[in-house]
Amino acid sequence: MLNHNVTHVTTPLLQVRNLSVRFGQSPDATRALRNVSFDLSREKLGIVGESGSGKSTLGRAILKLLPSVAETSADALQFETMDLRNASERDMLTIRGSRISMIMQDPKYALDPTMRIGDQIGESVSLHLKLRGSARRKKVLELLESVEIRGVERVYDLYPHQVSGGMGQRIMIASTLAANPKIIIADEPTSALDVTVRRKLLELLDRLVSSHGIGLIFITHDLNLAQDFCDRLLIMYSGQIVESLVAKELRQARHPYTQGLLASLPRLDLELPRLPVMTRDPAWAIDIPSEAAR
Amino acid sequence: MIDVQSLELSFGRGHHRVQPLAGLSFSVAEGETYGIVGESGCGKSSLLRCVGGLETAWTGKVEIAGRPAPQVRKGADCRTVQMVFQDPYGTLHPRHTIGLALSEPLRAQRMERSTGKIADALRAVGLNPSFAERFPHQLSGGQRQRVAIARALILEPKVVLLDEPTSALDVSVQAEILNLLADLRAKMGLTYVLVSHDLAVVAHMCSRVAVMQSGKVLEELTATDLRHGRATHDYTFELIASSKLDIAA
Repeated sequence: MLNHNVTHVTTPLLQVRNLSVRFGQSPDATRALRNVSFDLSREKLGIVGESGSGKSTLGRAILKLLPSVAETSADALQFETMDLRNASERDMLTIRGSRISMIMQDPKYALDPTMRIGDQIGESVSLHLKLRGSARRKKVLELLESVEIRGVERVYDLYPHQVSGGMGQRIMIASTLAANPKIIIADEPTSALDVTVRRKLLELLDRLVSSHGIGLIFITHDLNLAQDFCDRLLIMYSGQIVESLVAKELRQARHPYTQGLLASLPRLDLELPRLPVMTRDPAWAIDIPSEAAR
Repeated sequence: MIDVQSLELSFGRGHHRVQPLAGLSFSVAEGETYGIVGESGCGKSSLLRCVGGLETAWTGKVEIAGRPAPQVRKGADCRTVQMVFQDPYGTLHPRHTIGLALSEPLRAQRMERSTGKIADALRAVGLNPSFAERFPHQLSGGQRQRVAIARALILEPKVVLLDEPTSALDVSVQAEILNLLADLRAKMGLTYVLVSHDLAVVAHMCSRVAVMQSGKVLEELTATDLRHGRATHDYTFELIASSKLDIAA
């Protein structure tokens, strides 16, 4: 069911089969992810769900960034030729940031407030590209230019609080690109930004994905945005993928949960006295058998 | 209920002078929900802060419930207008229980503080009174926004200013909060000013909408005009177009 509308030309960048995460040992422990399976190729894959549906846990589980109380199991977690299940912490250090990168939600928290922007990007340039001195500075300015920041020499010397939210988000993307990653996991990258800035940032991400051949995992709770921007969507509910569809066909969603989410959006073309509020069917939370999830 | 005439606000001087509000006028009738849209930095939040009494250095005229509102509000003047902010987590003290957060405005206004009153306030927004003993981090985003609404309403205001009240919430929770706000307006005869970047939310909640750009009201539309794209300024068309794109299936 998951793979039926994927058109692979190449082997997937990332292959996930029956990934489960639980917090704690007891029988009533939180099962944050349950048998999540998907493939990621060079595409924009949207992961949509409400808060608590496990979408951020999924991003962190791929990078093995979960705290030690989290118990992770998977039948496959394959990144290119590497099996991430058995990867040691030392192996993960070579992957995190350089092969698989993450863009966080809020640049205000993810950037170091006491460091100049140029030095912050420079840190990742010297770590991944082993550049020093003027070569490093040149590369940093190049990266800032590639995310369409004007006046790069001036921005180089600024501190994070001196730039706007949209610019901060571009700076984070610039430092991500220093390493030339294969996969970018973007966790709500635009929810701290306003509409016009958001549009520009998405265009930028889109260009980067197509020109660098990057696989993008785009985590969001915004249905309209996901439909517009992504190629393929996975809808998550209480730790499971309940529906997988081509983004353009979101309005034809079959699962009642997806339909409920869509119905509760206010619409410009439809006047309603009250917004329909979703009634949650306990059946949605029951385990989907792992065979059927394939 | 609200009458604002040539409201101006500026910070700094000389070369560094910025003017978030450049002479702005509008009025809102009792029981109405008035929407304000525009991109960030156009002065939407500054406007709410002036009407709500959080900014003091403005010039012009602000009249609320037939009485001129002074720049610096004191005592009972503070009760008439209350505000609900975008991020409920940022406005609740992390180490104060919900009950304490709700009793704070009562204490500041030297009003009666009883557990009964706090329980009523929680019930009015659809929360169980037992929430009074919890801390903000033990609540979901939607529950926290309900607490923020309860805190605004506990002083029995006439006007509630809503600054992006649902943009931090999931769509299903957004629907619940918007319905709650509509119910409370009908029940308590409230007047709302709603700031949002989401035109669909504004069209759903409001009867009239002001489009703001660089500290001025560019134009005023009715919700029906907004739905049918009957605007006069290019900027408004651009706003409508960029949100219509999202909806096109």
